[in-house]
Amino acid sequence: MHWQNNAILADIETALADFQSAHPDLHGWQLEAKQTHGRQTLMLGNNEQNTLHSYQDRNVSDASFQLSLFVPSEDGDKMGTAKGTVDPAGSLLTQFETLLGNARQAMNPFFTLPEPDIDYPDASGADPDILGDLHGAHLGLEQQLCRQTETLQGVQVNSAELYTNKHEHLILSSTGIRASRQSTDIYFEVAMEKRPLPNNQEVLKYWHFVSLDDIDITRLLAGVAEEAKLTDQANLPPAREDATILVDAYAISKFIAALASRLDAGAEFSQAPHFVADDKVFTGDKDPQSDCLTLTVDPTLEQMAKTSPYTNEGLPAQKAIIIQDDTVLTQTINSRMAQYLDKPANHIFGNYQVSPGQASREQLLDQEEVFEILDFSSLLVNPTSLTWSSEIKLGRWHRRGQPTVMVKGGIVSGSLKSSLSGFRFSKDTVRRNTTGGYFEATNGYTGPAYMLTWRGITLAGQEDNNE
Amino acid sequence: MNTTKALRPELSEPHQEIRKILSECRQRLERGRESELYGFAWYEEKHAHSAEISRTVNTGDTFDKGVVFRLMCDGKQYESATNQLDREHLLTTADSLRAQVDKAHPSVNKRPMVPTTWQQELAVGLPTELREQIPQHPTATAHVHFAPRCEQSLQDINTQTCLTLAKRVREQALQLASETSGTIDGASELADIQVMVRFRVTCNIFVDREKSMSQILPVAMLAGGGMTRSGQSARLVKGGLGTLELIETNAEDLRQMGVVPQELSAAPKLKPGRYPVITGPGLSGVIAHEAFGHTQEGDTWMKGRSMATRLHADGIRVGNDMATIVNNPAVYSMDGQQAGSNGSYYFDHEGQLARPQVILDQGLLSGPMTDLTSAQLLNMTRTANGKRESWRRPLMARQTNTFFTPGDQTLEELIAQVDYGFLARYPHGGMEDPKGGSLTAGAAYFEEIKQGKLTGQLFIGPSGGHIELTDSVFDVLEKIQGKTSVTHPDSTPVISPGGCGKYHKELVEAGVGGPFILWNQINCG
Repeated sequence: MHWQNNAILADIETALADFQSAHPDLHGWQLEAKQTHGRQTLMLGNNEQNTLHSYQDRNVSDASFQLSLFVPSEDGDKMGTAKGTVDPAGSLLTQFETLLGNARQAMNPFFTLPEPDIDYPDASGADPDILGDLHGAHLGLEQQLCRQTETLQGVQVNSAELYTNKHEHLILSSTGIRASRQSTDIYFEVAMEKRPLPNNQEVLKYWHFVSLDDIDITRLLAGVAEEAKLTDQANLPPAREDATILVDAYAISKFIAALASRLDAGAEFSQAPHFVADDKVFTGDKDPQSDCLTLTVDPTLEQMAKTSPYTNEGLPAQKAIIIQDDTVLTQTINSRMAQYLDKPANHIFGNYQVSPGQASREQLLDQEEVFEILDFSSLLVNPTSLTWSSEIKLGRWHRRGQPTVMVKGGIVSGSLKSSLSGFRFSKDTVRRNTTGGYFEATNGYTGPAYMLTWRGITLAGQEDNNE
Repeated sequence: MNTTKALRPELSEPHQEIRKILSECRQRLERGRESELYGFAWYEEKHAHSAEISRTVNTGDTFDKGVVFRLMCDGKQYESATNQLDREHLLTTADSLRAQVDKAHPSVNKRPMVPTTWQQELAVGLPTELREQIPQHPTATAHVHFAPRCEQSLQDINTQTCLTLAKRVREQALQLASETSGTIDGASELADIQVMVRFRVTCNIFVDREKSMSQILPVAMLAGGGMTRSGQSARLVKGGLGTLELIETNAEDLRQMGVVPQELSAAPKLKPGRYPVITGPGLSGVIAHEAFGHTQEGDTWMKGRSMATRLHADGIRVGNDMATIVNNPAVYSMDGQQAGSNGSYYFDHEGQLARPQVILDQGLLSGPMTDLTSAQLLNMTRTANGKRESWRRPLMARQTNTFFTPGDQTLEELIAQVDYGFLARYPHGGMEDPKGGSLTAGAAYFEEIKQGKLTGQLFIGPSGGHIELTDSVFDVLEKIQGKTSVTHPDSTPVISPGGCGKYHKELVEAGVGGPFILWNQINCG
């Protein structure tokens, strides 16, 4: 699975060169190619022995090509753009002509395609063992999973899913950019509930990993089992207009991704709410007890989801601190937005690295009252308003540092800008990857495992629940 | 409503060729072990033209196609999926899958799957729209093709058509926004309006030993939204199974994109609490989808992850007499629209023919919606709910069009019953909890009702975003106080185009709908 000597790719490249010769008004093109091989296993639990067996087993082989064409307007003031897939089995010329016609109708402010830069950083976003033996790696995980579930006590494993993929990416452009990379990913989910049955609650957890080293099935299953054992006797939380909550890296990484989207120069160009250098990321008065946010973007972290030597434009990805002590140092600016906003491009791209705090989880919980959110039903963070809300799937109500009762239901909502005026991070850190899809963009996060916040949080629950 | 329809799109010559190759591959999958194995071939092609316009203009012309080969043995589904579609590669892929199954199952223990014949299907009965497209006396080798009647020729719609329409809608909404700008006290200025128009034609071919079928499913979709400089936004989605006439906008649509975001930027925040709420068709549908839609998915039953299994077995009532929910892939017209939804089709991704199913009947649960695996494992009736995100992804039991049945009141009558409460027309996401029975459905914003009248005041969520509605599904379904009526001859209410992720992934098209419904006291925050 490599792009060298790939006949389909060679045909497309040749056809593109011919097409450009025949259309001197064409400013240029960019081609993105991706090959994927994957294994997918869906498993069902056996209620008695806690064994898992596969009921759907899939092999997937995929090669796809995405082409963008760029053509200036007749007066040269605008640039037409069009994107489409290339079907290698169809007439390439017809497909290129269609795209060119589309580009001539889709005029944007003028920009030029970036020139190549060969100074790519070392960045490995793939596991060599998965690249070398996808099926062996997948089978090994599946066997490990089946062995470990049999050892779990006090819970019933209902189902699990395991997907393992390897990808070969390539980006080419008419200006001479030619960059490639490999990536791997593993998706693992498991659902279990407390014994004895029947129950009215289960715990479903899922994770994305890049490497086999990161996936510790024993620890993951033990954590889910532990949480499943807590699910009984959860009560509706009380209503609070100013609640203090503790969230884990799942929520923190979503908050950070939404916040970082406001630093994208594209947000400024579209006149959406955005940050520029020297802006503070919080609103209101900063609580002196609060930590400060420092965020670095790093494309070189070993085996993470957004590790890549190059950006979406095919240029060398750059590492940078973008927020330091709550203050924006720089926006993330690609070549096109740099031309639109008349700012220098910086090609900052990669995983989010958040500086940790000083406190342990126990110290964070040592407050008058904290609602620890173990699971959100559906955490939706709005990147334009930086607000969020979700039902509480499962939580723990702590008072004076001690867990009291489990909570479930009610609605927790927050304003991230308000929360950043009063928060503390844990000192222990975690890595979290999201390999991307319709519901979450590709994202690598390394940073605090927990965040305590006491600003901008509302809890809708039972008015008279003050147990 | 225009009732004069053009012809149904036919299967093209290249697709006929693919069908022949699939038939050959299907035979090789089962060859020599027909009494032990069940195999099918599935072809999926999605050709989409799209245009997205804001301060930048983007067009897309995407063409995705792939083949899935399936072999079922001893209750387990083995699949190989590829998008290298030349005959030799497909035959090799089919042979490799067969070799994999032979190696894993040199002999079988379970009774094999026996596919139904056309005669059996017709004997059970089919919706008129399907029946009239099946030739008389169909046989296993005769090909049957399905497609909806379309107003426009599919060949007349391209990316540039979509772009022209998107530009026009955006300009109209911007014009309306500029006329309103500065007239709303405390409102933030509109930053931009983004409009996306997409026209996608899906072609599926299914071949097993009893049936050879194809379907063409054109879906037109418009998604638009405005956003203020302060970040308040409002969105609109419309469309369905058919061509671009389904996404013509009206004054209310333009207002939603151009004016409502400005109003929301000056709107007060809702005080969390319990209120009477009237949901619009889209949000009623999201509640149906999340409340007992996911709970009634067969694979969720099969895994012991649904409370419905026990509730169904014990005959426990889970809602009042007005709590009736239908899942129906065979929706080809609805109240106010002579076309289906984006969740409509003629057969599912395992070749099961579309039929309606009542999944909650006046508060009592029926059997689940099934795919092949769950139907066999649960020994339940097979329904047309086997779906996958794409040929790249696994198949699961999924919803198609899920909706509450209509009632007998008008919207004005429902509003008149509310002393203080809200009308929520537009949905904003939702999440299932099939085991725990919690409902989460989002509303983009609320419209205030006081003493039986809409006041014109909008409300946003307690933290400035959307508003979540949650409760136990049992409580919610007991709290239906009234539903509006429809005029559709089959009583199919408005069904909005939608998408569904199972828990958090595997996005599929799923229509959601229903009448306006008045709920007595839902937890809102």
